[in-house]
Amino acid sequence: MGLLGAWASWLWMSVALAGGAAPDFSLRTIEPEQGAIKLSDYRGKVVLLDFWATWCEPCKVEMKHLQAMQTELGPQGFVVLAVSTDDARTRSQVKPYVKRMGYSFTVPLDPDSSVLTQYNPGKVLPFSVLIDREGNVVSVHQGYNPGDEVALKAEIIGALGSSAPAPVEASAPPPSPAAPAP
Amino acid sequence: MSCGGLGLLLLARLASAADGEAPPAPQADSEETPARTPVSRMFTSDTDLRYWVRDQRHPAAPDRPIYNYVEQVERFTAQASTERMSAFVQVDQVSLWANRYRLDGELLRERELRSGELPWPLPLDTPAGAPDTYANVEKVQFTRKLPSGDLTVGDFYAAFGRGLALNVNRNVDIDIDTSIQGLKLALREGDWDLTVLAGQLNRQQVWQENPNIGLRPDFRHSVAGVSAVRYGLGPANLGAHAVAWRFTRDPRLAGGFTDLGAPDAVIAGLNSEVSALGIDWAAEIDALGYPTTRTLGQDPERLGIAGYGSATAYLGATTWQLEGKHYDNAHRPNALLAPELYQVVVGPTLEYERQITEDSSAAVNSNDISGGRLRVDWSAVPGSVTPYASVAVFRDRETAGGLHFNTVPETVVHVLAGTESRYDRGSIVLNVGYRRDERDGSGARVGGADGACGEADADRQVHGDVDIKFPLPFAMKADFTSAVEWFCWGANPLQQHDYVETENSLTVEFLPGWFAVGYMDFTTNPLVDSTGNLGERLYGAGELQWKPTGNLTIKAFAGAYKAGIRCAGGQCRILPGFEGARASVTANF
Repeated sequence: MGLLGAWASWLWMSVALAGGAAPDFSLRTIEPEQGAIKLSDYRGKVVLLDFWATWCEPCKVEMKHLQAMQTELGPQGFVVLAVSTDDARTRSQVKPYVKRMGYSFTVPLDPDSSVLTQYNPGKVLPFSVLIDREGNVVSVHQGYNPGDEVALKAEIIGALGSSAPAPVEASAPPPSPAAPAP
Repeated sequence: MSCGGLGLLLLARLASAADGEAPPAPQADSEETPARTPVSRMFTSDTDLRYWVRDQRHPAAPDRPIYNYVEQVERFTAQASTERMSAFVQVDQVSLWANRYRLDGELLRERELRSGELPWPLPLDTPAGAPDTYANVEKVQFTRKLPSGDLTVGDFYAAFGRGLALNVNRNVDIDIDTSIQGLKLALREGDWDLTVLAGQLNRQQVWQENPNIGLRPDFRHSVAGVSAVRYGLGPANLGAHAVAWRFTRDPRLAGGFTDLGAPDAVIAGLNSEVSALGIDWAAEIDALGYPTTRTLGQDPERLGIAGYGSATAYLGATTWQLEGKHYDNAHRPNALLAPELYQVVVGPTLEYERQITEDSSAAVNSNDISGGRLRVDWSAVPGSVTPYASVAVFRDRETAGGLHFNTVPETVVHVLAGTESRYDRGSIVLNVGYRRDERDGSGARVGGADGACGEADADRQVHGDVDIKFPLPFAMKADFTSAVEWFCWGANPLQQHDYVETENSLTVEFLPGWFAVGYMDFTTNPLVDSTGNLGERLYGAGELQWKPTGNLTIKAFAGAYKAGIRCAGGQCRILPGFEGARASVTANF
């Protein structure tokens, strides 16, 4: 009982403390000519950070739905950053997979899990983080089961509607030479 | 102060910033520092309660199943970040309950949680009613964000190029989480990436999938490395790296820091990526030197060579990928590291993971292997239906070492085909393959060990797996997975028995967020170290899962599953079977 009590206390404290600004990061992508991207480059947009790997089957099931969401909601300011956590061993599989599936979202590479650890200390995949236009964490999701995309889409629409698009010049950092195309 | 204490202090410091107190910032930036620094915090809790059933009897008490016990494992992580810094700590804890029995009036332990060498401040002889407990501050990390990079102190992961010289990363799917504990400076300035690191390896102490018995300290080998990559060279990038390893002989908390000296392995290499002529090229080449005979033994003077290359072309609706590798005396560091579950000088395996067996896993980590794989994917229905075919050929020259069942070189041929089909309401992933490991001089055609395979001059394997997700009536959903394998051992002095095995599961989401899962395993593999609950070779289990939100999962499991080799992300590990009951709660906040 003591352990359960301690665990329940931690849980309560965690709920009370969760949230805040999404940590910024800089990662290279599968397109070398794109240069490094930063999360802060996307300030003013609603961002879904989706951590996946080519060996993670549930991740790949979810990605088809993420592509559909970006296609539908992109004009309203929604962006998917599909962060590949494939390590050095499976890195060569990432770009061929994305290209043959026809996915158009940006795919940053996190081969040493440095960004994954910042967002998901448990390091379990799939894992996604919804970030609002101001750069704050709206929600986190671990695992994927068919149908989860319905609730996720509702959250994204809610985040898109909760605030008007922020003026880029007011919230974004100075444009970098390698800033991604909108 | 211990590392753990320092980490908790840093977390507390960051947490205090959320209440209005900004963390310290350089004076030069003070005018730009907001009065209230946004702080993000992430917490995870993974609690597992397992009741282990063991079909064991004490010779003096054969009528009582005294070896049944309860194991509780908790992994708690906390992470906090501001714009300028972040801190992370992971605490693992395990307790064994009902781990005592009384025999002839004497109170005895069923099994020891810790070895005597493992540091633990509390008395080893806990009272009879109290659990045996161990807790460990497993990971601690503090990162200072610099204008052009990060400075990390504590635990971190690292990989250079394609991993032939250094690839330390978590692999929680197979219960492996080894990090480097030390210092890492990663700078990114324009087209340049520079990484410098030094530290010692830190293997996780408490297991989530394996039974926690006889826990012992790990060997904290020391490692140092540097990597520089130049991007933007037209369509190319070019990198160079060097890594030095010093292996410790004794399990100690600070072995890597205190046992410094001449490195036992020095690795230097180049890696590059080029997009040209409509093809994505990638390559890495490394030379491995072994300056000492202290731990590596024979042939200290002979250089090792490791190379990997891939070329991917996109022709219409097809994707063609050719990969090749060549290792010559290149994986000797892993031979030392593998017993500690470190395999950190490993490039791409190029092998299909679900067909790797106790024998073919040796080829994955062969010191001396060359080969390649060609894979063609066809987007028959773009984004939805993608069949593929691949063929891999390897020449495995490794004949020594405990990993191998071979005493002569062998040639491996593996053909594989399948499809990945994804629809709005379901998916089908199917793979089938045939693998043949032909030994040199295997003209003598002799029967397999049990005669089941008839003539057997080569290891032969047929395998297949499928994962089908499909909708059911009344808004329910289902997921069916099945993997089947038939394996015939070729004749050799270490002959094993041929076998057939299968693993199956059916998951039904019967209400939103509620899942019922049924499992069934069957195997005749004599190397599998477990016994079925429905029959000697047949295993069955059921599980109920409740996922009320996207970040909370509760599971209850009862039954048994078999032991076996499991691979993920290019690493393989033999995981134990289980019989009993378990409950788990996983939460993210």
